[in-house]
Amino acid sequence: MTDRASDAPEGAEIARDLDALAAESHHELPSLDDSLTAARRRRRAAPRWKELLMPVTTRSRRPWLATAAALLLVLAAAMFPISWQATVGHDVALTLTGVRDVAQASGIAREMKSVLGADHVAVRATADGPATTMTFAAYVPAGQGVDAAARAQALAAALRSRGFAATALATPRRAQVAGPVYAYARDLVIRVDTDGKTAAQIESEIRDRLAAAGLTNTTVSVTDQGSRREVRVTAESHTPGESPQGLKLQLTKDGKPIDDRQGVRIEMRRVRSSAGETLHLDVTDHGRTAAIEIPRADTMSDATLQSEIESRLRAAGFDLVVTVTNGKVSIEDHD
Amino acid sequence: MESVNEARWARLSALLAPIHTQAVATARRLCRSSFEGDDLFQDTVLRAFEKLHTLRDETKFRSWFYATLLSRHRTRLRRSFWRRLLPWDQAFAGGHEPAREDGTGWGEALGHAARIRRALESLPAVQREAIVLFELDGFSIEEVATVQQVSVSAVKSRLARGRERLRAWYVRHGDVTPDAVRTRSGAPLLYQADFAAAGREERTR
Repeated sequence: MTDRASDAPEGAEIARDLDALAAESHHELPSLDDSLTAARRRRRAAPRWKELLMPVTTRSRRPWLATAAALLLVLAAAMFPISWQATVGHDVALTLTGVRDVAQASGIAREMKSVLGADHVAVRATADGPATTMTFAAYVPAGQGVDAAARAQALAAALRSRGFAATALATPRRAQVAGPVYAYARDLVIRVDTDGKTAAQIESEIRDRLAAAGLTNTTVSVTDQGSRREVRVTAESHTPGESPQGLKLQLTKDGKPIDDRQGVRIEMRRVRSSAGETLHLDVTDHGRTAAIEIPRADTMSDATLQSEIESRLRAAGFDLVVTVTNGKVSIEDHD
Repeated sequence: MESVNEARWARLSALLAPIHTQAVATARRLCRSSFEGDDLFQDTVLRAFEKLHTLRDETKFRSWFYATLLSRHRTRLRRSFWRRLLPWDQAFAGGHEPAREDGTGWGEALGHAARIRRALESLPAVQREAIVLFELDGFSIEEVATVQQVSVSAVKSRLARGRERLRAWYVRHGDVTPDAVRTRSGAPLLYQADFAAAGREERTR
């Protein structure tokens, strides 16, 4: 504690507190025997399987064996069959009101079939006074790789330009599917290509893709600020088992994922359970990542939550700007 | 196998004896409570036992053990669940407050220690370690560099940044006025020479 500049008010306070900590940390120190006994007891209590795995996982001893074992485990896990809810396709409904000439129905049905790549189109006509309301229904399987919602809207727009009162609606069809784990992981990734698209186009596309994945209660915002582009996506699910948790949004450019090393990516999830609300943060800042979990976040004041997040981020080595307003958390880099 | 282990425990005990008191105190200072510090120390002893075969030069045991201690410290920080086990303010629950030798309570001293613990907790692990080792444990900058396995200039930078953050924390929590900081803008915090030197490095980054 020599040379401490105690004339500075803050320096004196810190110096006094450091002295107090130095004294407190020497209070009732365990003896060497106590420490060794505790460590030995802890070693005996360690699970037996951990000891058995130790030679395998100790890369310094048997790196090839550890690598092979890890690879096998990953492969086995990836092939493990599970079942999950997935979007298997879209039900597209095209509605034309005030149709005078019912004979046009077959032409429109053929056009719809061709645009959507659907196997067949069902037509239903209902009398609407002197005119007729016609509904064309088709199913587009997800495996077809067609953006059903976008194509249906484009068809409706084309029909409107030809004088029809046309509206289109694409509803994702969800079903329980089964398959290996790797297929599940693939299903959880939403890829959006950004090549040559404006912020508004990307925003619209992300919204559509999230809707296609079954998340309709979403807020998407894409804004350009000089050379930087900010993408904010908020998705809510109030139904147990339909949590957006795990769903990944991947933006691509030139057919390749935009590297996280080029910017800051923050994934925030608030998961409510009987124990309260837990805030999960996955932060990637120029290639470095950290996962932070704050239990009972809903019981904290804005200032406490902000301080807690800042503290955790700093501990993880991240220097980011955190603001919490009315429970709404915002994390940004300094740029 | 058992006798091999016994021999290893005996060897570790002999090596640990000269630095035991200081190392336990360091572990306590790095953590949010003495209880957590003791836990970190036991964890480090166990790790040292398992890795003792990698220690080639026994004269370097102190820095080797401290490097292990810091490694365990950071590993535990990464595991968020450890952070939930013992909130700092529950370290001395009511009725368990230690007493001084003269029988008086620790109230005020504990308050000061608790405050600096909270301030240290707000620092990144590497800065906290540098501050604790240098300011409290009497390590030289070169020794801190050895146990942190970084360059001397990196340690200086960590110390300067850590002090700056500590000062900011005290100001933010109303323990000193911002005016006091403004009037000392660019002035030393704890150690005039070191802070000035490290401050220059930081500016040239």
